[in-house]
Amino acid sequence: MNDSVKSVIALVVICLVVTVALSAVNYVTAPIIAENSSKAVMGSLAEALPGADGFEEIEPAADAPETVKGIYKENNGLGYVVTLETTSQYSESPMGITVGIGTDGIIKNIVLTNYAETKDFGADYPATYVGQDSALSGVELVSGVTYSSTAFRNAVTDAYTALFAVADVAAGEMSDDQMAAEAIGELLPSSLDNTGACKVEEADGLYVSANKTGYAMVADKVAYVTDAFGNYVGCKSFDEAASEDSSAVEAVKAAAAEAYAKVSEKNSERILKMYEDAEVSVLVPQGVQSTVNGAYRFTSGGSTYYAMTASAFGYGGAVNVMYVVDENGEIAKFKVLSHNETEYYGDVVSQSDYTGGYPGQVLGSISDDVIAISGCTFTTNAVKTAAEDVTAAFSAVKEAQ
Amino acid sequence: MEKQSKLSIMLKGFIKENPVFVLVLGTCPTLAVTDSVSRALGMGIAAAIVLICSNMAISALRKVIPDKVRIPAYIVIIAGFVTLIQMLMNAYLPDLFTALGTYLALIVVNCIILGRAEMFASKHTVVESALDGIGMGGGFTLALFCMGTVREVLGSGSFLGFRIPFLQDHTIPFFTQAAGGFFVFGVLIAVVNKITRGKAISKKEFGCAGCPSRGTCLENPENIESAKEAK
Amino acid sequence: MSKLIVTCSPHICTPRTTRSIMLDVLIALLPAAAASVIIFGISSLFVILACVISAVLSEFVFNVICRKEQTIGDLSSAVTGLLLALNIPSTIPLWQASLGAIFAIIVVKCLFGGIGQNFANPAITARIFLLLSFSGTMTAAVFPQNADVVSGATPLGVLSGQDGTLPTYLDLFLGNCGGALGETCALALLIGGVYLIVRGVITWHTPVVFIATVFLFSLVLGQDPVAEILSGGLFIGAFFMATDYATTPNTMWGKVIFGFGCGIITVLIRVFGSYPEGVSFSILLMNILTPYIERWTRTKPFGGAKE
Repeated sequence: MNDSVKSVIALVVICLVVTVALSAVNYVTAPIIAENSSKAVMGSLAEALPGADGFEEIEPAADAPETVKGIYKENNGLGYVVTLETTSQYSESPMGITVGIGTDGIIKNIVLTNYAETKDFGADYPATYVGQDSALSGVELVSGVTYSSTAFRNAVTDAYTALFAVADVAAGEMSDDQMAAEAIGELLPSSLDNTGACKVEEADGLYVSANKTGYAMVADKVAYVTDAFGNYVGCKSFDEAASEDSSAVEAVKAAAAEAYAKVSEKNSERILKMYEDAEVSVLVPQGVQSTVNGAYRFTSGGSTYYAMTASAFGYGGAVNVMYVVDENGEIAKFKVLSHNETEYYGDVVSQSDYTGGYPGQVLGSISDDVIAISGCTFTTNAVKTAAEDVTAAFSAVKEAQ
Repeated sequence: MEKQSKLSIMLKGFIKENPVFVLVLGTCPTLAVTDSVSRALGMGIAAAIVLICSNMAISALRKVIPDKVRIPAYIVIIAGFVTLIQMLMNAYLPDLFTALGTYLALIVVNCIILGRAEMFASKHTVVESALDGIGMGGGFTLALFCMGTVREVLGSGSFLGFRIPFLQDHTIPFFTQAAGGFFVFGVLIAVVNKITRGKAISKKEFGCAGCPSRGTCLENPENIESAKEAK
Repeated sequence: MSKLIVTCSPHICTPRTTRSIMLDVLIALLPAAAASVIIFGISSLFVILACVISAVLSEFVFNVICRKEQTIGDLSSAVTGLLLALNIPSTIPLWQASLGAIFAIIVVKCLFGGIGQNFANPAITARIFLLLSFSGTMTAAVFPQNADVVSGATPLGVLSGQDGTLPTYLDLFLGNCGGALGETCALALLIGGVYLIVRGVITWHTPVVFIATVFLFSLVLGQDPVAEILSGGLFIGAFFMATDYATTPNTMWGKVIFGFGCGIITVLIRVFGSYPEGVSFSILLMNILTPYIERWTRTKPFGGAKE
């Protein structure tokens, strides 16, 4: 009994002594530790917004994007810092981003925190965002690392979204080609490539999608879109104040029609090469908004034929094909006009033993064996999509007659 | 018990009875923190400080702590010192603190510390216990340093963070990984065996004669009388 | 003067020595080595040479340093070097290949007591060592030089879900696809394996059971079984490494169990694990279990007393 009491007393005393010692040390060190950690946080915030002098945290709006973790307002009105967390989607490793945005809406600096695979898109990639505004028009995705760089870009866009909701920051301006691309992509889904984006090229103020299935012009922050044949499809306004302007609509229709005429010239030459005695008339089908970007009717040797060009996206870009069919939809000729597929598959698709399989098939019931290119899903899909669209366009054209 | 001079108490911890390579105690932090020399040194010194302090404290209290509750008492004391070191490191050396992470707290259950407390500090004077702490702690740090050097130089091509020109381009990441840690550990034990010509551990002998703790263990019949004397 | 061996009768003489067995294995591996040079180009030859030379040299040096009898004449280190070379891609830097061979011979074989005493197959263990150390160069998808095949990943990579297309069965069988030096040409390996079985160096049990198990379980788990058995290091593992004398069971049922176990683990790692290739790990794991398998399947000696 005595033994146990002694044991208990001894233990209790030791514990008490240790506790006192620990609390004394804690008293001394706790404030230092707290200061260290806040300095660390402040440090990364200060790195994002150079020249900053202290921050005050503000509450993000209730519907702010998930990736936004915190918004900090700089005490002297220099701007704001937004901390975000996203994943690189492909490997699911977390990516922490701290971006400093001035009151003029321009990114001052952007820091990648907590990311194990910076080698992914290169240490220089975040630097390409500095100086951009909310439109991020100068920023490109890194080829080969599209998932991670897309996640990065989306996170930065989220930062702007959240910031606009709670702070007074100038919004950025989209460049014309960005507006055109977005409008065409939205109104004509067949112009979207395999990454879901629409890329445009410009000539004389007219923007055309990469697979030539849509045109657009931009005037006063409104993008006007026509289909491949010059038919007006609609417009998209990028400014609340701006609205559709009829003269702009006429302008884009005229420009697109001109562009289509130029393209048709080339296609007519191709038809003439195949049928020397052809008399080609260019068709302007209504309501055909697909990968089909050219429709023609010609007579040769006493029969009437229809030729249609279509352009769908394969592995390396747009695959441009031409179908020549007779009045009953039976394919007379199939030609690949151009493509960007890897050497091996590209060769297959334009070789005669591939294209030779088509004549004799009927539009709408082309056998899968004829279309399929073994081992290359992307190119096969492109050709298939083109075939389906041409079938639909053919019936539309025949009906309209 | 063999009469040991104060100096030999301290020196044996470095090679002859090196806690890591001979006694094979405290292998967890050894394998975990030796992928870089800075972490290894940090851990070694932290553990050494705890060892010295706890040895001294336990030795000072050895007559006061009842036998029944000695283990809980030792653990409380050791944990107290570890927490102290943690708080001080967090405040004054935050980078090292984050680098060591959980392994700093795991010093509490490091076999070396509890083992030396049980086997040495509870039976010797404060001065001798302190010397033993210095010896064992030094040996631990030395062992960690050696492992850390090999693993960092071969595995990351650097030393204490300084790049080594040729090796940096031809690193063998195997060594910084777990498997490499075990491999280097085994090789170093073999090397130490060779250096001490097998006298550190005589593998062929069974029973108390072959055990490195034969000098202090209470189960050893030779020690029981001397233990009674010391009491 | 060679050793005089004293034994009691019966005195049976056989021309079979370690050296002759190893020579047979080398001959059996020649088709695969030749195929690798044809498919992947001259760099394969350099890799093979680097591995074989490093292996033989390291055994030579080790024996000299430890003052042991020189054993490089039994050709086992050459075989290990060649096997290792056939397991790694042709684009690997030569210093890494040599390092793997040195690891295989010194660490896995010599440190454990030399030929016959190693606990695991040296070539396979060295391959795993290289995979852990140099995952970038080891998992690089290398394709045949006459790029008839353009795909983003090796066949195993495709099977495990990476982007790319699977070559045809004929391509897989003839080796016209991506992968390590020796693992692509199933035909060459099959020829080598049959040669070994005919010469009596190995028995058919382990390879057949191994391959059949992989086939069966891939089928059950919904993978393409023919593609699974023709891709990756299965053929080379089954014929040349799962039949290593020192590290696999001696008894017939032991071999069957060994092959079966390897097959299951391979399929599990390939389907559920994060590595696309499971053969090396499965052989290593089963090597470790070999003593127990042997004990379990020990045959009763003729006339032995009841225990």
